[in-house]
Amino acid sequence: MLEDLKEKLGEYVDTPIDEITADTRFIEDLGLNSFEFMSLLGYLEEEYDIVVDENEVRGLRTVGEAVEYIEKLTNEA
Amino acid sequence: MAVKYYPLAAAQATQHDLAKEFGTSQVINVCTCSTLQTEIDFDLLKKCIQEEFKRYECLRIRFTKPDKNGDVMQYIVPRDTRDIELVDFSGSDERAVERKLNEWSFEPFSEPDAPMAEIKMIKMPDGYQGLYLKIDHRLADSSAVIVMINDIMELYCHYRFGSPYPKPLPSYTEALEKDLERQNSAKKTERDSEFWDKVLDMGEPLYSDVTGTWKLEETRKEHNDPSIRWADREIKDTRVNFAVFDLEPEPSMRLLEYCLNNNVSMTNLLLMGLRTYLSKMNNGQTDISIRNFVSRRSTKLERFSGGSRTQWFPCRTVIEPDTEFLDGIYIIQDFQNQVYRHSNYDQAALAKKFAEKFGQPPHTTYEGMLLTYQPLPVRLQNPNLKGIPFKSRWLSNGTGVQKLYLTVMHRPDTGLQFFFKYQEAELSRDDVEKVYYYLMRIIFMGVEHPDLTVGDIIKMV
Repeated sequence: MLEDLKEKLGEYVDTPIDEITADTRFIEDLGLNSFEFMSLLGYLEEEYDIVVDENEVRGLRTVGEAVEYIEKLTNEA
Repeated sequence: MAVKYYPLAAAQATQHDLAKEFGTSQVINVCTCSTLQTEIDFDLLKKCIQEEFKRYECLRIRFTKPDKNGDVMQYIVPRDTRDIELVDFSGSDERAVERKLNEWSFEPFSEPDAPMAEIKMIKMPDGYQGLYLKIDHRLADSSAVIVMINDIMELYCHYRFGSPYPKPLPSYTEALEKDLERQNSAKKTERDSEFWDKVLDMGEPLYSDVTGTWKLEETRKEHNDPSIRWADREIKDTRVNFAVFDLEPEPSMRLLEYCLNNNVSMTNLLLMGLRTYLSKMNNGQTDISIRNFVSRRSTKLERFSGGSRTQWFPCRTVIEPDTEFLDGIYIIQDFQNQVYRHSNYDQAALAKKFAEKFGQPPHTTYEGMLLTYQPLPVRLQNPNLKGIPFKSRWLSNGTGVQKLYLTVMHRPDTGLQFFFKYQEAELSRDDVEKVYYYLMRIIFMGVEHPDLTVGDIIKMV
C-alpha cells in the first residue's frame, strides 16, 4: 500500500518517490495544496473502492497515516 | 500516422456550448499581452514561438465541421510551421494601439479545420516588447496560457543566454484520453453524481445580486411568480467592460499570511468576502451562492499539458450573522473541499440536475457573480530576466454572458490584481467599484479583527 501511494504521489509532486517515506507530510514536505490533496483522496476512493470520511481525513498529515487509514477502510469493506 | 479524432471533454464542451448558444466563438476568445521593457531579439523570439507549437500539443488542436447538432470533434495536427508576424506599434498613439488589440481580440477564429491560436510579436509605444496571444478557450484556459508564456520565455533564455533547456511539456493527448475515459465511466462518475444530488437536496438556492434585491424582485414580477428563486440573465446585450484594481504587495502579503496562519486558501477567503458583501446588499440574506471556477490541475500531467480543464461549480453556503469571520471561511472550506473531490463531474450534467430538480429555466442563474482565483503568475523566473520591468495583462474579447466575473491574480511584484469583467447592460463602473471597495473593507476587517462576526462586519462596513 505504501508503495502504491508513493507511486501515485509521484504524479503530483516533484519530490523523487524514493525520498517519500511514511513520515513524509503532505503539506509541509510535499507542498500539496487543498485541491491537490482532495483530488488525491478522490483518486484513492476510486482506486480502492472506499468512502473516506471528511472529518477523519482532515487529520491525516503524513503518508503513513494515510496508508493506515486506507488499510483500515479496505479491511472493513 | 493517421490523425485521431476525439470528442470534446466536459470542460471544453461547456465552452463550445457557449459559443453555440451565442452564435459566435468570439465569446470564447482568450487574449493576453506579455511584454518586457527590453530590446527583444525578434528573430529568436519567432524561433521560440515556432518551437512552442511543436512542444505544446494543445496549440495544434483543430476542430471538425459541426455535425447536425452543432457538435465537433477535435484532432491534433502533427505540425504547425506558420510564420509569426511582428507588429511594430512604436510611435503609435496608445488609444489607436488599444483599438487594434481590441480588433484582433474581438475577431472570432474561422472554423473548421483551421488554427485556433494566433500569436503575434509586438513592439508597444511605451518601449515594451513581447507577444500578443489569442487562443480559443477550448484549447486553453488561463493556467494553460500562463504555462505556455512561461515556457516561451524559458526557451528564449536558453537560446539567448544559455540557460538550461526547459523540460518537455507533457502530452495534451494523454491528459485528454484520461479525462474522456473517466468521463465515460459510469462507475467513476456515480459518486460525483451522488454528491451533487445531496447538495441539491439542501433545497433550492436563492439568488443574490451585487446591487441588491431589485433584480430578483424584477424577475419575479416579470414571470408573475413571487416564489421564484433564480434571476434572469442578460443574454441579448452582451457588451462588456473591465475594471481593474491593484492591491499593493504589502496588504496582499498580509492576506496571504492570514491564509497561511489559519490554514485556509485564498479562494476561500475571497469567497467569504464576496458572500458577505452579497449578504449585506441583500438585506442580510444568509443563503448565498457564488459560481467558483476549479482549475482541475492537480497532477503534473494536468498542470503542464495545457488544454481547457477549468470547470465552474456553485459554492452555496448558509452562514448566520453570529458566525465569526474565520469560522465562516471554514464552512466554505469544508464545502469547497467536497466540491474539489467531485470537480470532474460534467458541469452540463449538473446544470441539468438543477433544471430537473427545481425547474430552473435556461438563461437564468442563482449566482450573482463568478470568481476565479489564479494562483499561477506569468513571472520572469529566469535569472537572466531578473529586474527587467514586465507587463502581463488579459484583454477583453468584447463580449460576455455573465453579469460580473472577478478574476484575482498575482502581479509580478507579489501584489494582487482584481480584474472585473462586467456586462454593461447590467452594471456600471460605479457598481463594480463599490464591489471592490466593500470587498476590501470586509476582508481586511475580518482578517484584522478575528472576533468580529459576519453580522458585525456587515453593520460596520
